[in-house]
Amino acid sequence: MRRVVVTLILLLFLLSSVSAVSLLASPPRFEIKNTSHFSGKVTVTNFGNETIEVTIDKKRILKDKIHLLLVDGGASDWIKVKETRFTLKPREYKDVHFEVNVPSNYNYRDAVGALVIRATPKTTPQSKGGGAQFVIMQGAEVIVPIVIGLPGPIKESLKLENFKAPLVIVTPLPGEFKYTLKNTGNTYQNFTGTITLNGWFNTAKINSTGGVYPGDNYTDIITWRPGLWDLGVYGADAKIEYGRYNPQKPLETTSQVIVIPGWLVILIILLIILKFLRRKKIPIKIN
Amino acid sequence: MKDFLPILLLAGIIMLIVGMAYYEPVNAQVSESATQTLQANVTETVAITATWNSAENGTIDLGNLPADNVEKEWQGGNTAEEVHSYSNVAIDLYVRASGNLTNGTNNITISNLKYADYGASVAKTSFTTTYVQVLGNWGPPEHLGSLTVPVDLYLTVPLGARPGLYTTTIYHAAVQAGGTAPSSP
Repeated sequence: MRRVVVTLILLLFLLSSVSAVSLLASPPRFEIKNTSHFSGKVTVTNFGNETIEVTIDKKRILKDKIHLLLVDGGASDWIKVKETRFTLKPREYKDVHFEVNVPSNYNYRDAVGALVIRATPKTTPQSKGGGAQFVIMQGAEVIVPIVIGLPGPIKESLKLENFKAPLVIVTPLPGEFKYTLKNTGNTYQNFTGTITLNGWFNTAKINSTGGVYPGDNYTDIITWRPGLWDLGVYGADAKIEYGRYNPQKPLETTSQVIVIPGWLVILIILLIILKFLRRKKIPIKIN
Repeated sequence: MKDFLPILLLAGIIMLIVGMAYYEPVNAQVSESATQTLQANVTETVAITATWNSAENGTIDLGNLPADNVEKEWQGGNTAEEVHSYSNVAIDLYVRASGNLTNGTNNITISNLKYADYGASVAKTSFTTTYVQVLGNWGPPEHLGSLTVPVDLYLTVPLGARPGLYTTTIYHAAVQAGGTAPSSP
């Protein structure tokens, strides 16, 4: 406790020049392993110069490359927070105590919940009269993930739900390859997605990494910007490698993409215009 | 002189008693210095703040604007919007809004309010009520330092918008980079 107080005093001293809606949370994450019951606390500090209203929500995290969704149900139902709404004056802090209780009938599965700590200014905007006036309130949030891993048999399994390649890429514009994975196992899975593009003249490789919790989907987008001389039909072979405990058989699929160089399009347009002008045989006027 | 003898004797006894009371022995031994080790464990911390015009309030006052359907711009910086990180770990930064700009029953859709830049050439994008990542793996700053990014804001007031005070809340949300994944098998 003394160490935490000393830490906070040091931080408050260092942050003394900061103003506006300011929110600090420590620690920024929790990881609970091999236990179905956990008690913890997160210290919430207002390190600014303005009084803030703080609310604490408990949520389940759904996260991929595109989305961060904080939803109800699942792991959020296992979290209990003792105090969910309070006011913090400048330089004031509060320890927020919480408990995690995983139901005894819950099968082994990695899961992630979160405490969403939200700070808003206590002041309310006042109209100054005349015309349309616009005041935007500023809020700050710190999302504190609670990562839960329970003991039991391990099942690693990912399913490739879909893979979409662009039909045509006109350079120098990039193309986006999109695929969705579903975790049908019971453990969190890190994965590496590699797309190999085999063309008429050359080959390119693009890759991306991510992680997905059991029961969740992960949508990944990988961007490819073809080079100046890329041209023609490319085979796009997608390979998803995963296996957090043991390497699993990679997921594979294939598609095609046509690459049309922008300079070639411009050249063709110029040639057409030139041909058109020649056909018309526009006489040169000499005054 | 004999008359003062008891008084002198009494004074002498008092001085002796006071002297004994304040007597501090001179110790020839070398005493050990009392040393204490102080230690503090600085914990991992996520700390963010958003400022407008470097002012000490959490409101962005865009003032009175005409309902002319022309997009206005407030370029990010210390005279407008900034986001600061004082975290001692890398963070992912997200942005969202609570909903439309409202004035009683009159609404202006939140898509008319846009953001851009964040020091990372983030493209001009309409606010939504869902979290959108604007910075990934941001920081951490140097020891005892902080990081600041400018935020450009844009607002279009549609033609015919009724006069009055319109408000909404924008949120900047931080989560430790990689914090949602288990650390190891």
